Amino acid sequence: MELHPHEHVAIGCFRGLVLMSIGIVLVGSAALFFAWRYTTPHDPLPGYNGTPQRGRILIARYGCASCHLIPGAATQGLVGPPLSHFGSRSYIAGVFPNQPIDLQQWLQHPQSMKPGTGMPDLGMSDRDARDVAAYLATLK
Amino acid sequence: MTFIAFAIAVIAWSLAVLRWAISLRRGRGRGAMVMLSCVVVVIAGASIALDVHAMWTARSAPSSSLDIRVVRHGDWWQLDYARDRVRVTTANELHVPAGERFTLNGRVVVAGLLWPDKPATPIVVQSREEFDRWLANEARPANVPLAAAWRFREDGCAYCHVIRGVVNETWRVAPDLTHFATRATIAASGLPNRRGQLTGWVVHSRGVKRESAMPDNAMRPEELHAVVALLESLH
Repeated sequence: MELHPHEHVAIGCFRGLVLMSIGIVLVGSAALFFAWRYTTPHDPLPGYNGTPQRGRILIARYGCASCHLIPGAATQGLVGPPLSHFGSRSYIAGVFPNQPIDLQQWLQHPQSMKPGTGMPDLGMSDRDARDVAAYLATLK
Repeated sequence: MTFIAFAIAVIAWSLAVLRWAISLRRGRGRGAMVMLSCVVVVIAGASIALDVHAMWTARSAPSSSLDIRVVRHGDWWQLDYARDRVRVTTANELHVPAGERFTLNGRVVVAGLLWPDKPATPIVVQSREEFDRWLANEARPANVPLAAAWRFREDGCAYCHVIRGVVNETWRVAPDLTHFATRATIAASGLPNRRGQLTGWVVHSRGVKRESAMPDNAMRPEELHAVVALLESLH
């Protein structure tokens, strides 16, 4: 097909713009991915079968940080105990050994596990509890 | 008038640029210039068309006798609604009807188009029917069991907060809580109105929002859960 010279220029200019946009998007996505991959814990610890990243997001959704001090959370509650170094702690609520099943149970049913505790039942699903537990365990 | 003059000037200017680009000698850069000026013409035309459409919508919007007053109290907002004989005071979540003219702090506005002094509180724009239903519900007093009402007073919440039907005072020290559970957010802060956030907020509000004026309420845990349950029941 025969093209006029100015049409070549126009198409060329457009192609440059498209390539540049694609480049910016690719480099930006790569930067975001690596920031996410290396600043948040990725693999669950042995014994925990949840997804730590999802647990971290869920902590914001359930509002855990309204009562607890949690590293990296937007709010810093002082109502309940701080959860910094939670993965290195021996007991949950001073009563239960800090193990995967106990932790998941505690997250779901604090009121029936320790009647009278200030921590409310939040209606957390099994999957959510697994993910939150997997995240808390990484806070060594 | 200013807008029309400005719109004509913008269109004339972009057309002039387009004409100049077309008149350029054929060669390097002409195609790009033509394309660029076309883009400018399209963007200018589209934004002017949108503005004209918005102005037209605002002009043709039916007016209502709805009058809303937003009063700022430190870290929260008092919202007074008046329509016909209905007078309602709520807080922190501004509901407005879409496509209807009403007055906001004395100025005539149409939701989503012109905000004179946009309050920094969550705004919920609703269809006329939804808004009517919302306002009718807000106008009703809360339906609270006696024990819960007693608890609310006993824990001292009633010294500052009003729940119409439970605490029928007229003070405006803290947000009205009559239909608290219908609000999507708490603390005039965009924080979602869910049990976890709410529980922490009730006990130690400054852990959630530093400038909060609400004192700490270190009540017994079972009282705390009862108060949270009461708040969750205020539909």
